[in-house]
Amino acid sequence: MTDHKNHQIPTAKPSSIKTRFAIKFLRAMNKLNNKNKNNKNTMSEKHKRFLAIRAAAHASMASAVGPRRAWSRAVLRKIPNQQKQLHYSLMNKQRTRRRNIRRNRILLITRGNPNRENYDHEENEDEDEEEEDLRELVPGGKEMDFCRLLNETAHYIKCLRTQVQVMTNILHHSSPSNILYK
Amino acid sequence: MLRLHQSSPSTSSSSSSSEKNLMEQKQSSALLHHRRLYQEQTNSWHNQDTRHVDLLSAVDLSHHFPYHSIPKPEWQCNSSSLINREKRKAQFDMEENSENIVEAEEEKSEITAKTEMETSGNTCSKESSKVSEVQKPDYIHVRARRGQATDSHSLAERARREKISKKMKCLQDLVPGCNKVTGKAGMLDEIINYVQSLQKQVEFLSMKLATVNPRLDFNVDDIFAKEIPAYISSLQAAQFEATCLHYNTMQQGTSNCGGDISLDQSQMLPHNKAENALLDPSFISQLQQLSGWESDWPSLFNAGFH
Repeated sequence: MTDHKNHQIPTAKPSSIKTRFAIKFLRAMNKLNNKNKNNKNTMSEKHKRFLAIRAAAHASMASAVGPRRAWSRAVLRKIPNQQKQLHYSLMNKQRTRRRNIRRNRILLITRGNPNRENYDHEENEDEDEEEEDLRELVPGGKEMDFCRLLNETAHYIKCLRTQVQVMTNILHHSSPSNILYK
Repeated sequence: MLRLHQSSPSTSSSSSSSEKNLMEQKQSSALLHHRRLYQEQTNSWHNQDTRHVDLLSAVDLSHHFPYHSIPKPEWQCNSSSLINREKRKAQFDMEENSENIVEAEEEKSEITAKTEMETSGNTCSKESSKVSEVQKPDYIHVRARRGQATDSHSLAERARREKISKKMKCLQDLVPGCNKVTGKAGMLDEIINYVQSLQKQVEFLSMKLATVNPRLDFNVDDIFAKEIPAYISSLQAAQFEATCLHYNTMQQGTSNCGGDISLDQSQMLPHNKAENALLDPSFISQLQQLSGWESDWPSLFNAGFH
């Protein structure tokens, strides 16, 4: 799998996360625009559009990454699209179950309960709070141990960055025809 | 993971492997079957056995030196021969030093075994030369560093901590502005701020896309996909700056972006500000309700995603 490239290099490989996300997101935007042909432009309509676009961004990012990452799996699980869920579950059911069993066993042996009490309160309280915050931020972070959480955070940060880049470029491409710029 | 650390540098004979198996079994049921431990300790001495014995002594009696607190049962069980006793005494002296370290560590964290590297570092400075000899007897094939305990729990803990610090370093490279802050807590803070600001950026951009493009058609998907990567760095920096001004989330980020921003920024910012002014009254109230990635997935989503 080709990861997203360093953003200083202007060329992208044809199958990178960036292009995959861009294609999916653009298709989603097309669908949205085609559906909303009647241009009401009221506040509620705008808000709905905004929510739909944001959801489309998250989902297309997750599906561009694929079910290979825990955070993308968590996002994909939330999509109320049954076909996708079925496909994903059929592919990965056995593999993830075995992996989870193994992981839980390792967790129990090496660290005990992942949510165990820490006797050294002073040192660990701050870190635990921040760990909790991080777990809330990263999708699917509540069920991982800390090492895995850091991995997922790193990948999630990379993907968020590509998302921002692609969306700004879309905006830039569409903006010359926009009234607001004049 | 326990097995990996203990067996990898070893040239294990059958007896030592059986001893290792014994060690692992004990760890799983140590505190409940301490009687068995006492007896088994007489047959072979391992640091882990004495560690469990340490725990018991710490719990039952006080923070004495372990062998002082358990002389009787050991010698009682070991009624077999004088040879064993002499061997034990010789090993006793050697083991003293390592036991000090183990106990020092155990005193800090009894049950959770989150031992600090610093204590081992401190004891290392005291007893470095002696300990390096003690740490590598013939039948404990554990590659332990100088002055650090060789029981598997602290080994596992240490390995885990190293893993975590390695990953924190990777994250440090990803997150801008992390070089100044050291330590786990500060790093985590920075990471959290960065992730939050990235998520808010995405929301802001999607909001812009919602208002700005009611009529546009993105028919030419492939051409877009190839052109998009070409307009990257300056735009991103400019947008980032705009969102920082808008949200005031990343104070350090602005100082970083100030170095990155190209000349385009001066042209981009007034445009962004104009758009921001238009968007502000309508969406600020809604923006304040936004939280991370878990905020509502409306049914409209089906329309947008295929």
